[in-house]
Order: sequence, then C-alpha cells, then structure tokens
Amino acid sequence: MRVLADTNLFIKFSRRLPLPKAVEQTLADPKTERCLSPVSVIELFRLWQNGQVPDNPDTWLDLALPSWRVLPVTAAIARQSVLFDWSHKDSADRLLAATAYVEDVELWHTDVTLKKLRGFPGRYFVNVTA
Amino acid sequence: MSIPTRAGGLQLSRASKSDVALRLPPQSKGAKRKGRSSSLNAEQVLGKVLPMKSISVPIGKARTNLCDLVEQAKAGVQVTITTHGRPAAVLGPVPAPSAPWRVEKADDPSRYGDLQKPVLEPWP
Repeated sequence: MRVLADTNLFIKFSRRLPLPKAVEQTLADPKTERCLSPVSVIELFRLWQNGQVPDNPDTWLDLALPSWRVLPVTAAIARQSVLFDWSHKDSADRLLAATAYVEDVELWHTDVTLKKLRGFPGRYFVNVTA
Repeated sequence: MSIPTRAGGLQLSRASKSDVALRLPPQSKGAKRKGRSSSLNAEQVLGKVLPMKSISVPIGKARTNLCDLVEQAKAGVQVTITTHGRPAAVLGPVPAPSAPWRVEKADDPSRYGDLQKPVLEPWP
C-alpha cells in the first residue's frame, strides 16, 4: 500500500503520539510505502519555530526520513496546486493535494478543510489528541 | 578484478560462458613440497572476502541477458554494467522492507501545540 501522510500524521507517527488505529497499523507495516512531501519538512520546521513542536527536528528528522519516500515538488505538482478550483488558500495543503493527484497516491490527513475538497485521492481521519 | 590476500591475491575474471570465474594463485613450491594445501576452497575464500557476490557485464550483453541479470540481482548479486570497459550503472537487489524509524519512547502529547495550524502565508 502507498500512502502520502500529511505533516500532522508524519510527526505523530515518528514521535509515537496518539494516532487513529488504522493509520498506526498501516504506517508501521514494513510493506507500506510511506510517502512524504518536502512541504511537510517546511511545515515541521515552521511548527518548531512557532513552538508547536518541542524538539528541534534536526535531532531526529534524518533518522526518520530513510523510512519515507520523499516525493519532490515537480513542475506538474506546482502547476496542479494552482489549478484546483477551490477557494482554500493554504499553499501547503494545495501542494499536498496536488502531489496526491499527480503521483496518484492517497493523501492521508486529519484536516477538516481538505476533507471537504475534491479532485485528488484522499482519506480523512479524525485527529486523535489523547 | 584482483583482491589482495596473504596468499598473493584472488583473481576474478570473466570466463567464456559463465559470468565469473575464480582463479587462485598457484601454490608455492615450498607448500607443495610439504604437502600443505589450503583448507578453504575458492568459493569459501571468496565468501569471506566479498560481502556480496558481484559481476561485471558489458552493456551489450546486459541488454540481451537483462532478464537473467535481474534474476541474479534479485538473488543478491550486484551487477555492474559497463560501457567501453568502464562501470556505468549498478543493478542490485531491492532492499527488503523494514520497520520504519520511530522514536523509542512515545513523546508527551502535552508538549505539542496545534500541529494543524497553517504555518505558511495564505494565498491572497
């Protein structure tokens, strides 16, 4: 199975924070192809700078990344991120959705706004907090 | 390909039909006279010296034998494809899937803020 995790799921999985059971099991399965967008790396560091993530990602990101396939932001993805006909203005979400569309990989996310949007393969999960 | 050893070197060379042939250097006269011989055969020595079996194939032969080479790569052989006698590409086994890295001890969720908070500038 091939899954593109959003930033929230990537961080929570890597740091063993609470996750929906299906996400936990699928991402932990060695047979799963775990995909990640470089946009999530931007978001991770910005979240750390803003105090939402406590530990400097430089202390663990390089350990985590070999378990993930990083899908580069190609010209096709950049183009598609602009051409979605939604009003959603979060550029990170648009790039993640475009990556899912162009790479034909399901975007697993916990974003209620993305949940309402169409035009890309996606699967919404309730954000487990405890 | 020559691998230096105490015995004077192992040589890997391409044989006429097989992909790789192994030649051991001739034993010294002294060793023969005393009736000594190596307790390891050539394959055992090779297994100890090389971490992974590897072969070298010119691109023309690789093209005609690609299916066989892929089978060998799947079995763990590292196939170096050469152009004009120089290594150009390597065909090897796909690494077996392994469990992903995760922090050993779960973090305390209370140390984290809102991970879904937009962090990039919204489009105008």
